[in-house]
Amino acid sequence: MTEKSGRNDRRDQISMTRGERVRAAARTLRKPRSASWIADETDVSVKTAQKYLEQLVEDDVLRRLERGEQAVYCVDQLMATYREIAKLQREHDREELTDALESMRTRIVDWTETYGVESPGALRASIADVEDSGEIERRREIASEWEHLEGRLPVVRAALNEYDWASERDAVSA
Amino acid sequence: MGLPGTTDSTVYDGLRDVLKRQPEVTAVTDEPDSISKRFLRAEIDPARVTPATGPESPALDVEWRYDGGDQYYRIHYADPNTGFNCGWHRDEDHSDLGPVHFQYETPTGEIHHESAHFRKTIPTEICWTATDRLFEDRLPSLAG
Repeated sequence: MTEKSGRNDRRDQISMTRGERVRAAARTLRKPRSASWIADETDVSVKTAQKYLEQLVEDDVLRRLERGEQAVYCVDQLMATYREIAKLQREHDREELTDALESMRTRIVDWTETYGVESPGALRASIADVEDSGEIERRREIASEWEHLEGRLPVVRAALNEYDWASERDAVSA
Repeated sequence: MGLPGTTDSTVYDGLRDVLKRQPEVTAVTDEPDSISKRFLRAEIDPARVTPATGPESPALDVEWRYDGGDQYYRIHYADPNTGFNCGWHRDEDHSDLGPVHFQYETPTGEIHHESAHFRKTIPTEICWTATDRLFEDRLPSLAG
């Protein structure tokens, strides 16, 4: 079997339709991009890309912005964040979210005290003064985890803030 | 090694779609859990890869981070049965090899690194291309 025919067989097996491919890719659009840019990235026609991008705008997944005479698309971050918060509220009870939030905060406080720095950026900068390769690796790992937690903390906190209200709204009456 | 930046859960929604469609994948989970969501883990059917392995299921981990306008990622396969592991990394390691490198570790513990490149920039397309390369080319030639 040649590499080319193997690839085609596998791609047939995966059978991701053009629409699904554009939809999956569109959810990663952090910078506004034109339909032709997305079409090129996903190997579909501009018309096909446009059709699915407009559907995603209607579904509040993407935002459509006008750049001169051109329309560009990016993820609707506000709606995406609300969906993420709702998911956390629906999938976890208050205790789980509280425990997770406390654990994240405790870890950050521990790193602040251990390394005498206030931010993951400062911890990364401190690597320049360290010679031991194990310690350099440890600091990089911690800075990476710290950056990640800083991104997750506001989402988990928001999920907890209106947890009771959201649970009431989510209740299904018999 | 740890990637810089923060995750974006909408990106993981798109990447999950791609992973779930791979014929070798049996399940995709948020790791270490759905609250902290550091990376996605795809469980691989040991009988569906070439060469077949087992009895444990190999794992394909996909982590994506953003730092300002830059994206960093790790698409890494590991077979617990043999110790073989390999993956594509865009991180701060091995900058001599360019922004992206491919690395693999043989069961004897030898680690190799080489330069790599993806023509696409959208995460879902990078992930799709990487899984193609992994299952069609890299595993048959390196893990055989």
